[in-house]
Amino acid sequence: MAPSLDLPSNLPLTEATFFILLSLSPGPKHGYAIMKDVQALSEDRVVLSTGTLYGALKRLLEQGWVKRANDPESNGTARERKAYALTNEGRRVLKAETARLQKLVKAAQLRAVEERT
Amino acid sequence: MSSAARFVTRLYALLLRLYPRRFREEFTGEMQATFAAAAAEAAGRGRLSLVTVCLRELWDWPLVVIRAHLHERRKRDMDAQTSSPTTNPPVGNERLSWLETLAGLWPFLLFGPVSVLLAYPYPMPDWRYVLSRRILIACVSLFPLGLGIGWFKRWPRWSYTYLGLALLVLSGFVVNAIFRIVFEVGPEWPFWPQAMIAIGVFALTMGVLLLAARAWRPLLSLYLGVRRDWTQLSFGLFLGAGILFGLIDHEEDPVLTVFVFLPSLIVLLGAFAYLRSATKAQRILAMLTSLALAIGVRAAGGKFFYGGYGAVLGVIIFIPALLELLPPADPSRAKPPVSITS
Repeated sequence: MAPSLDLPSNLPLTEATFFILLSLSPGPKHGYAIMKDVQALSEDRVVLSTGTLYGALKRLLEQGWVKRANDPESNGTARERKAYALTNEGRRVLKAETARLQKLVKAAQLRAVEERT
Repeated sequence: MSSAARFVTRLYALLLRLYPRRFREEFTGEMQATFAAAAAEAAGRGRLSLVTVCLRELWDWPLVVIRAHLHERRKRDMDAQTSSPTTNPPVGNERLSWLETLAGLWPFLLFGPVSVLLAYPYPMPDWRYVLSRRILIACVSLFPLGLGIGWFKRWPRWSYTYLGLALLVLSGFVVNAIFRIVFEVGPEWPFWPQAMIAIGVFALTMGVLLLAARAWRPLLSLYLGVRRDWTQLSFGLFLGAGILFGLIDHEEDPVLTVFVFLPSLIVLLGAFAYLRSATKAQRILAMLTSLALAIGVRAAGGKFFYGGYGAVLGVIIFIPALLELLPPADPSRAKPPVSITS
C-alpha cells in the first residue's frame, strides 16, 4: 500500500514541477525529452535549464512522486540514458493540482459571466 | 556535434563541479548528456540559438547550485539525526579530493614559497613591491570566502587553514593589545616572557572560541568537528609555520639561499602530507616532522632564533593535537550527543 500523502500541504505546485509531472503522465521520459515536452506544453513560456530540471527531479525522486525507469527510446546501441516515470503518488498529486487549477478557472469563469450579465 | 557545442559542453562540465558531491554523483552524467543534446540541437539552428541556451543555463546556475547545497545540508542534518552512531563511517579519516586539498593548501603556498620568491632579489623595485602587495591583498580577501564555505559545508578538514589564520590573527591582536595597553611596553621585553604570554593568550582565545561554538548553534558544527578530530585545529594553526618561514630578514639575508627557501617548502609539503594522510597519527607526524625539519634547516643557515619561534609555534600548534592523545571517554558515562537542530 502506498504511504498516505498529505495532498493539501503539497499544493500548490510550482509551475516547473507541475509541467514536469504533466510531461511524465503519458509515460516515462528521459531528461532532454522532459525539457522539450515542458517547453511544448507551456507554449514556449516555461523553458527549463538542465540545472532547474535535475534539481526538481532530485526532489521529486526523494518525495517519491517520480521513479527511475527504463528509457523507452533506448535502442540498446545508444549511450545508456536514464528515464523517469510517475509513481502512483505523483499521479495523485498531479490530479489534485489539476483539480485545484480547474476550480480556480471555474471560479474565474463564473465571475466573468456574472460581470457580463 | 559542432566544435562550438563541444566547447560549451566542456565548460558546462566545469560548472557542474560546483554542485554538492552527492548531487554530482547522481546526476552529472545525465546533466552533461542532456546539455550536450540541447547544445547540439541549438548549434544546428545557429550561433544565436546556442548562445541563448548557454545564457539560460548561466542565468539559472547560481540559484540552482545554492538551492542544491541548502538541500544537501538539510538532508545531512536529517541523516545525522536519524542514523545510529554505529552505522556512521569512521569520522576524520575521509580522503580529501584534489580540489579540497588545493583549497586547504594554497594559503601555505602563498605565505610560504611564493612570498619568499616575491621578496627576491632585494631591495624590491617599486613595481614589484606594488604587484606583490596587490597579489597578497587579493589572496587574503579570499579568506572570508574560505571561512564562509567552510562553515556552510560543516567545516571539512581543508577549511581549518582559514579558521587557523583567523585564530592566529585574533590572538596576535590580543597579545599586541596586552603589551601596549596593560604592560605599556613594546617588543623590548625578553623573548621568553613574551612567548609565555602569547601561548597563554592563544590557549585562552582557542578556549573562548570553542566555548562560543558549543553554545552558539550556528557554530555548533565547528565545535563538533574539532571534538572529533583535534588535529584539524592544529593544522589550521600550522599555517603560522608557513607564515613564519615566509618572513625573511632581508637586510641579513639579501640573497635567496636554500636555507631561506627550503623551510617554507618543507612546511608546504608538511601541509600537503597532512591533507592527504588517512589517519590522525600520520597527520600529527606530518606536521611535527616538517616543523622540526624546517627549524633545523633555518638553524643550519645561521638563524638560530627561528628555533625559539618554532618552539613557541610548536607548542601552540600541538596543544590541540595533544588533546587527541587523551584516552577516549567512557561511553557509559558519555552524555547524549548534542543535536544540531534541537
